[in-house]
Formats: sequence, C-alpha cells, structure tokens
Amino acid sequence: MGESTAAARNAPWWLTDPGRWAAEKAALRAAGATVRRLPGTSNPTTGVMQVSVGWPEVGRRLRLRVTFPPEYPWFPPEVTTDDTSIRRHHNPKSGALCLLADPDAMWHPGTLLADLLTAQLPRLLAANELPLVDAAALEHHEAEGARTFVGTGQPVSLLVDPDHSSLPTQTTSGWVHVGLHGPYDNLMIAVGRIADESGMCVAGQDWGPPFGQHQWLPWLRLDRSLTSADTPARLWDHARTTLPDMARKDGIVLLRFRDEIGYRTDGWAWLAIYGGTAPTWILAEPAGPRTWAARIPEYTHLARAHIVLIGTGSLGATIATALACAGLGELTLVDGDRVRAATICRQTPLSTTGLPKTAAVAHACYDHQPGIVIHEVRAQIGAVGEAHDLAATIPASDLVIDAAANPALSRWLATTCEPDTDLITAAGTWGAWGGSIVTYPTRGGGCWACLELHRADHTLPWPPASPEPAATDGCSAPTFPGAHHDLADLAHHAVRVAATRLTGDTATWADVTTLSLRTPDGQRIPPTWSADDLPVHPACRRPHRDSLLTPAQSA
Amino acid sequence: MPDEEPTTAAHTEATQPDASPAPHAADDGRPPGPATEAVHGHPADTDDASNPGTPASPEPADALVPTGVRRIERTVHRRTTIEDVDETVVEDVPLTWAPPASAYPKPVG
Repeated sequence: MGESTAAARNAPWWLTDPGRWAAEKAALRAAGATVRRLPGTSNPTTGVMQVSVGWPEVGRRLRLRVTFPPEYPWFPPEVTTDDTSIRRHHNPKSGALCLLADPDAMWHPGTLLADLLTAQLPRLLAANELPLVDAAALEHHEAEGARTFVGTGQPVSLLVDPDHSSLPTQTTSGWVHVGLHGPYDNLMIAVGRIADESGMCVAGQDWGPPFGQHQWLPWLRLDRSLTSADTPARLWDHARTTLPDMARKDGIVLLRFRDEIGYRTDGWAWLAIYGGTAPTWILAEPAGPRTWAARIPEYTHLARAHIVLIGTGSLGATIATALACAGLGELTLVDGDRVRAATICRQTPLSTTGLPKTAAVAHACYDHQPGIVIHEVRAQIGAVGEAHDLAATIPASDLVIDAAANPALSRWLATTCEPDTDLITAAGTWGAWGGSIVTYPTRGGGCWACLELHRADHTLPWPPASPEPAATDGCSAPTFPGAHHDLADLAHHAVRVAATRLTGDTATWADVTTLSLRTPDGQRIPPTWSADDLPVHPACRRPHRDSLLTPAQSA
Repeated sequence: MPDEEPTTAAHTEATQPDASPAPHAADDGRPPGPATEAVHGHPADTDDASNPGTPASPEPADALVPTGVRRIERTVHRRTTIEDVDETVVEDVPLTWAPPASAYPKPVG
C-alpha cells in the first residue's frame, strides 16, 4: 500500500468524500431541517463528526444530535435526542433512537441521513403515540426491558430462568440460592431457589452442573420500574437501608423490579448490585430450557428423549455436545478411555486431559445445556472384566448412537437393539476422507449383516479412505490421521438424523448416508452425500422385519 | 460333574428340537463368518499353541453350534412359465450368524 493511499484511508470521511457531506446537508435542508456542525466535535483524528439537526415535525421541531462513525457511510449514524416524551425505541440512558431494528443489516451506504429520518422517524413517533393495535404493525415485537439499555461492560452475568420467577405477592424480601460458575475470567450467577426472610423456599429451582458452587444472597423487591434517576449507588443504599441485617457492606444484593419482560408485557425482572465503595449493577438475562428452545423450536421434542451414545471420541464428543445444544433431556455416555493430551486436536480440550472421556464430554454437555441429565458408563464394551448394564439400559432408551468405530461393537449393538430400539451407527474412514451413517430399523428391511453383504458386493457405496499408514505414537495403539472439522460433518448429520428419528419420522432419511470429502484418489471435493436404502440381501441368513416404508414410499 | 467340558451344555441345548443347526451351516457344524475365519494362519478356535502353523485338531462337530436360533418364515414368490407360486420357506437361523468379512474400510471416529 502506498503512503498516499494509507493517508487517504486514515483521513476522516468528510475530507476524503466532501461530495457526500455536501449531499447530506443539501438533503437535510431540502427536507426542511436545520443542520449545524457542533463546534469541536468533528475530530479528524477519531474520524467522528457530530451535528445538530432540527427536524420538522407537526407543530414542533425535534432536536436531534447525530454522530457519524469514522467508517461512515458504511455504517449508519447514531441519532439521539433529549426529548423525554419519546418512550419507546428510545434509550433512556444514552438517548439513542432505534431507527432501524438491525442497523448494520438494514443500513445501506447509499442512504443519506435525511432519507433515514424521513422514512423511519415518523414510524418511531407513531409507535409511541398510537394505540397498541396500530403500533404493533410499525415495530418489531421485542421487549424493551431495562436490560436492553444498561450494560456494565463487565464479564459478569446474572441468569434467571423465566419459568422460575413466579413468587407469592406477600414475599417482598428474603434469600436466593444462586449457582456460581466462572471457568475463565468471567462469572455467571444463576438465580436458583428463592426463600423468604425466614428461609422457607417459596419458588425456583437450583441449577445443576456446570454451576459447581452455590451461595445464599439477600434479595429485595422493588415495586416499580427503573428510572433514569436510578443508579447502582442509589439502589445499593436503598437495599442496605431496607435490609440492614442481611446486606453485607461489600456484598451482593439481588433486586426484583417491574420491567417489560415480553413485547409490551409487564413482569418481574432481576438485577444484582455489587456493593462496596463503588457499587455496580448487572441486569439479569433470561436463560433456561424454554429460552433456549425458543431459538430452535424444531427440536423441543428432544427434551423428552433419552439417547445412549457409545464412543465419545472425535465423532461422539461432537455428537454429544450438539445434542446437548439442541436441548436433549437425557444422555448416557459410554466409553472406557481417558482423554490424552496427544489427541486434543480432534477431541475435548487440553483442560480435560486425564479425565475419563465420558466425564470430559459430560462437562462440555453441561456447559452447553445446564439441566441435561447425564449418566456415565465408563466401560469398554466387549472387553473382559468391564462391568456395564447396557443390555438393560438400551431398551429403556429412545435411541442409541454408535460412534465407537468398532465393527464388533457395531454388530453387537445392532443385534442388541433389535427389534424395538432405534440405532444410528456413525463412522468415518481413514484420513477422515468420508464416512457413513446407518440407521436401524431400516426403511429397506435389511439388517447389519445385509449391510456388510451389500458392501462386500459394492451394491452400496464405499466412502473414500486414505491409504496412508496410521499415525502412531510410540508402541501404543495406532491412531489415524484426520481432522476434527472433517469428522464433524459426519457427526452433525448424525445428530440431524437422530433428531428426526425421535419425532417418529422414519421416512425423511435414507438408511445409509455416505459422505465423501475426497475422490477415491484423494482429491478434495465439496462434501458430497449419497443416500441409499438398505434392502435385505439375498445371502443374508438373519431374520428380518418388514420394511418401514409404505408401498407408496417404496414405489 | 466339575470336569465336564463346557461344550457339553451347548451340545445339549443344540439338540433340542428348535435348536438344530441351520440348514446353511457348514458341514463341520460351525457357522460361517469371521468368528471361524483363520487368524494368523490357523483357525481361530484352535488351542494348539505348540503348533500354530497347522490346522487345529478336529473337534466335535457340535462344538460351536450356537445356543440360540430364530425361526424365520418367509414367502418366496416364484414365477415359472406355467404359474406363479407363493411358497413358504421356514428356516431356523442361528442368532450369531454373520456374513464373511470384506475389505470395507476400517471405521474411525
């Protein structure tokens, strides 16, 4: 980059593009507005410019302060006002107006400030003035709670499950049992059981893992909404005065206050105040199974399901955490290995080295979904002397996923799951060049032995596999070359198939899904999937159930 | 009979009416498949460690007869030049029957 180009890029936008600033002024004046650069606010070093705009409204002139960012016009300007008659879509702390629901996505660099105000300001004002039924057509249906406008900038979060927030009206203060979790330089405080001043629990439910520590903190009800006059110090003084025996001088007090908790819906919200010489506050974030499920509504049925996952290596760990993310209710993890530092390139992280793999994966699952019920079976299935009760666990589950990459185990599982428990077998190939996912009972009626016979005949496709020798370390068991992100393609599809299967849908996915990430000679290709049903092989001597497909589907 | 060979129990069960060897089973009474495939040049069921390069001594024909079978009835549709015939075939299939091994890629995960 030449020096002149770099200098031009560092110059403020109104100098590099003077025509744009001229166009902005002309458009504002054409719209009947007044515009004036605020003295001392056009800083060439920061690239920020501020202007005062008098915007014509019916019967008045609305005073606006507009701040253009240094990257203008690629990003939109911020428009603020001190006009307190505007209550919705107006940040009470900063004064910013929400002219665009998603400013960066909805802003176009060809838009002038005057265009933005002409198009959006009347809508914003109307949403403030019209009855709800009319205003609802003009705005996004999002709650504008206090949390929307107040941020602490600190790595501390207060979590509240909205399903646990109903309290008896006569209970105005007491104790709350919070869960604490802070694996890094952050801290999460989760509101659990809530008790009155006598210590009797009146609502709520404690958070399980990963919240490893719990503590009782005092809480107090504030029978009003927050106002712009409220500050952490003021609320802290109020709490200390109201609860002199409960609130420690440098402790934490939780406040329950009125707020908009849903679109134009009033309710109770929480905030925590850190005391001490300079009190600060953290407004609660709603979080819990229902909150998460609302973001992935297709998968709410997983909350009632129990999956047994055998093998928690690269495929299994990815499958487990994806299932936890998607809201699975209960998971049995089966693996007899421990995490080795040598394999963290495709499994759980270094911090889990030495743990049983099931425990390492369980921690990751809890982190993705507090509340998931996890059972660990730390056993190598099929090895002499390994105690487990899988043959009894499997019939009580809804689905089994075999990610152990062990043909002997796959055959045993397929037989053990027959005839009533669904089974998904996921396996990659050497080098993670591809892999396959097989689902039983099959649509085509074939069994695991039919699969092997069809593969032997090549009547089912073979995924590509690297011919490279194994990557070994010392004289221990050889491992394989292959990246986590390649196997993750396979793992995530296994989760898709499992989630579909748990709805009772046996028609969407074919019996055998084969993934190719390479050509047979090793050239990389975009992930390519083939789908085949698994019919009964004529040479198979095992018993077979009827096809899951209806005659119409078979046709 | 503390010294009784464990295969006797299998033999006793296999001789029950519903537990007879499957018609397709090999002549020596063993089910086909990997469980009886040769490993390292000698049959998997040998215990003759002193002479690993030679086949194992013959064992009783029923030594590896599976202890569980499943009866299958299936209808086979035959089309001849004269007529179409639905014929019911009944087979007793050992639960441990397995197809022969193939060169399908080793799974990883």
